Amino acid sequence: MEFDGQQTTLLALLAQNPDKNDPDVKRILKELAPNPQVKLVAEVLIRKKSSPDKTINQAVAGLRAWAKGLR
Amino acid sequence: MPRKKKATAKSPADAKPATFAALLSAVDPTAAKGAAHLKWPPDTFAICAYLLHQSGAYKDVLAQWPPVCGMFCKVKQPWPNWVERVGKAWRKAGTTLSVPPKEVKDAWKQVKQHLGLEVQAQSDSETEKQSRSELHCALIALVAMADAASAGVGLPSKATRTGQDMYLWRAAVRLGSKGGSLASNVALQVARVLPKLHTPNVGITLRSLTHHLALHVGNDVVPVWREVPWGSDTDSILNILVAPWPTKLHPSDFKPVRLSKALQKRASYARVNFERKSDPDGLANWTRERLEEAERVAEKVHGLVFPEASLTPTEFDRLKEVVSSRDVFVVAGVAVPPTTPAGLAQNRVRLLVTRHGSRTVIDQGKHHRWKLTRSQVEMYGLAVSLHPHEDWWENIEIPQREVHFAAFNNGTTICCLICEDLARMDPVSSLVRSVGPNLLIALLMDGPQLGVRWPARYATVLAEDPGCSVLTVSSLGMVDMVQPRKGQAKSRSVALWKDNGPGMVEIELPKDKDAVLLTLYNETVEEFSADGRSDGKMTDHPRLEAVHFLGKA
Repeated sequence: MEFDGQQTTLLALLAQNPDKNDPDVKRILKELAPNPQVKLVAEVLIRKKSSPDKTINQAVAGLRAWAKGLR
Repeated sequence: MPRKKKATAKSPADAKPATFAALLSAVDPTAAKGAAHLKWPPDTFAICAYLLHQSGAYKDVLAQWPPVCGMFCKVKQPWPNWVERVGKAWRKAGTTLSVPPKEVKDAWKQVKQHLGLEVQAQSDSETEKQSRSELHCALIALVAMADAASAGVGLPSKATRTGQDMYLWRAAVRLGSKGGSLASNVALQVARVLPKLHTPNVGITLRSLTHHLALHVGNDVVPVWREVPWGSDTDSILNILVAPWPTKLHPSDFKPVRLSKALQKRASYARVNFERKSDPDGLANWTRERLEEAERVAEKVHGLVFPEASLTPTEFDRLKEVVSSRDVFVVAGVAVPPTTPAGLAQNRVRLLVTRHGSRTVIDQGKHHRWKLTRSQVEMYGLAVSLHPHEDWWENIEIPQREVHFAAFNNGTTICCLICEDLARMDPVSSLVRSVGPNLLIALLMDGPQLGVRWPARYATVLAEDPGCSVLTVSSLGMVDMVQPRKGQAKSRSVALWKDNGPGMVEIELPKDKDAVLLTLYNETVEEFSADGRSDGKMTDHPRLEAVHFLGKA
C-alpha cells in the first residue's frame, strides 16, 4: 500500500498518539476520512487491534516502524 | 423637501488610515477580545509577526534594545535568558493547550493598549512615540517568546517519533493537516506559520528575529512541510549519487507542438514538447550498476538525484523497484507527456523515500515555463527541429504552485526547485528565504554547471541569504548538446555545489565517467537572531566533503 506524503505523516502521528479523545487526533481523522482505505488503516491504528485484511495489517506495521523511525 | 446630498466617491487615497486594530481584525478577528491564541505560541506568533510585517515595525528591534518601556522595565534578567525562560514555560503550557505564562499575558495586554495607533506614524509627539515603542516592543517580545517556545518544530526528532514531546507532536499534526500551517487560528489566505532553519546574520527583516518560526504571507505559492522520519539522528554524513541521466539526448527529443491551422494563425508564439524515448530497462541497469559501484566506494548511499525531466513516468516506476530494497531518498525530474496531441505536458519533481519496504512520494510541479530563445536554440544545436527565429515556450501546465520541504531525521531539510523556478525569483524566493531549508536541490535541463553561468548566480544568492547549501544538477545528455563557442573547451560539468562558505565547486565529469557520488557533511553552526538570542546550535549546514566519480561512459 502506498501513501502520499500527507497521509504518511498523519498516519505515523496517529500511530504515536492513538488517544481518540485528543482534539488533534480528531483533527487527523477528519483529514484522512475522505479516502476509505486510509480511513480503515487509521481506525486499526486507533483501535490497536489487527484487521482481517492482511494488506492493512502490513501497512499498519510499516507505519508503526516509520513512526518510530527505527533503522 | 430638502435635496439629498449627492454622495461623492472617495478615492482610495482618502480612505481612513489603517490602524493596528484593523490589521489584527484581518489576521484573527477573535484576538482583540479573546485570548485563545495565547494558548498555542504559533497562533500568537502569526498575529504579532503579521502586524510587524505589515507595519514594518520589526526594524525597531535594535533601536532601543533590550527594551525598557512598559512591562519590560521590570525585567531583570539578560534579554536572551528571559525570553528563553518564558518560552520554555509557554511551551509546557502549549503541550496541553492551557493557560500561558503571566509574561505572555502581560505582553499581549500591552499590545492591546495601543491597537488604536495608526500603522504609519502620524505625529512626532512624545506620547505617540512612547505608545508606538511600547507596542513594537511587546510585539517583538511575543514573537521572540513564541520562537523560543517552538524550538525544533517541524523536525522529526526522536521525541516527536516516540510521542514524548506533545508540543512537537501537536506542531507536526498542524503541519501535516490541509494547509500545513503551524498556526490554527489564522486563515490560510492571510498568513501561514512554518518551521524555519536559518536566521540571516546581516540586515534587518522580519526573518532576522526568529530561529524556529517563519511567517509566509500570500497565496501564489503554497508551502507544504513534510516530516520524513528517514535516516538516523546521528548521521552527519549524506552520500548522494548524482545521476546525470539521460547520458545522451538528441535535438529530435525537442518536438514542436503541431497546432491546428486556425490556432497557428492566431498564435504569436510556438510551443515545444520535450519527449524522449522511454527506456526503463536501460535506466534500471544503469542505476543498479552505478548504485552498486557507489556502495563499494561508500558504505551507504543515502540519496539519488536525477535532473529535470530526466525520467518518463514509466522509468520513475521502474526506478522505485530498483531502490525498493534500500532505505534511500530519490529526487527525480519526471516529464509527464500530454494526454492529447494539443494538450499540455507536466514537468514535475518527485521525492521518493523508501524505508523498511514502505515508500512515500512527494510531488511538485514546475512554476515557470522555459522559453527557448534563438540563442538557446543555437547553443543546443536545436535548429534542426526548432525554427531559430521563433521563441519556443515549454508546453507544460502550471499547476497550483507548491513548494515542498522534506525534513529528515538527521536535521537535513530538503527543498527542490525545477530549473526556471531557481532563476525566477518570484513568487518562490520569499518563501524559500523565510524557511531557509538547509539543502536546496535544483534540477535543471541546462548546459554545463559552471561558476560563470546563471545557476551559479542564483545559487550564490540563496547561499548568502538565508544560508542554504545549493546543489544544481543537469543531465550529461543536455550538457553534451552544448556547442561550445570558438576557442571554448567542451565542459562535462553536470553539477555545481555552493554553500555559504567561500567559493563554489563545479563537478566536472572525467571523460570516462558518467555519474558522481557526493559526500556531504552536516556542520552544526550557532546562529543569532537580531535580538541577540542563540539558536542553541540547532542549525546544520551541509558542506561538500568528497567527490567520487563513477561509471564508464
